Amino acid sequence: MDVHNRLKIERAEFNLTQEQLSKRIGVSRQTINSIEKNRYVPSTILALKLSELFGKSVNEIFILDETD
Amino acid sequence: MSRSNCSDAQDEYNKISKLLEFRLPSKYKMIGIITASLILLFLMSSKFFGDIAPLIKDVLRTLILLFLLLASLSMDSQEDEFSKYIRFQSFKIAFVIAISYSIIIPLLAFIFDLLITKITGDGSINFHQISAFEILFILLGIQLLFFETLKRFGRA
Repeated sequence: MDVHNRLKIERAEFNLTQEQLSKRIGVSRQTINSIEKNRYVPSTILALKLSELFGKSVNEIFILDETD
Repeated sequence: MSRSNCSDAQDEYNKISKLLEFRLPSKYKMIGIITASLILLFLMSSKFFGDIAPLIKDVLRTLILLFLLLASLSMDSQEDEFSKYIRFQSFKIAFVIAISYSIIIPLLAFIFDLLITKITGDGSINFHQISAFEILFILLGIQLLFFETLKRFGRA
């Protein structure tokens, strides 16, 4: 099942670099980069942390592809 | 399910979970890779400087596997859920490649042996035996290689 995300857009709105975001949620920069490039789908815990940080629901940041 | 059965299952799950989450400190990765490489170099160079006793050869091979295992079990410098994910992926691919290798190589050797023996008619055909060292070395080597490769994709 494919998922795409708006993480890069949300990060840009908050004016955060990948490094800054990774430090704020306690993961590596590679993790943020892989999520943004849709190479990795994060765990529920990480998705919730991102949701809390950006003040948006998980569904608004992570979107299931229409074919699914 | 009764409450005691439920707590027994939870205890068992916690024990297995601890075992699955076991990792060595990240410094062991460098120690493992460098030491295993040095021993491997020594083993390879020993062919040019005279043979070493089979017992010492076996001990050195075991040490190579031990140090590769240390590297394989060590944490990443920035261990998080992505590291765990790519470690799982690298173990998966290493397992498949090692099993495929242990099936395909003896088969290919057997076919070539059969063809050569048929052409030259020089005696019996032996089925090529792959040593445990060969399979485990490939498994651990490929796991470490794929882990670093997948990590590199995360950086780019």
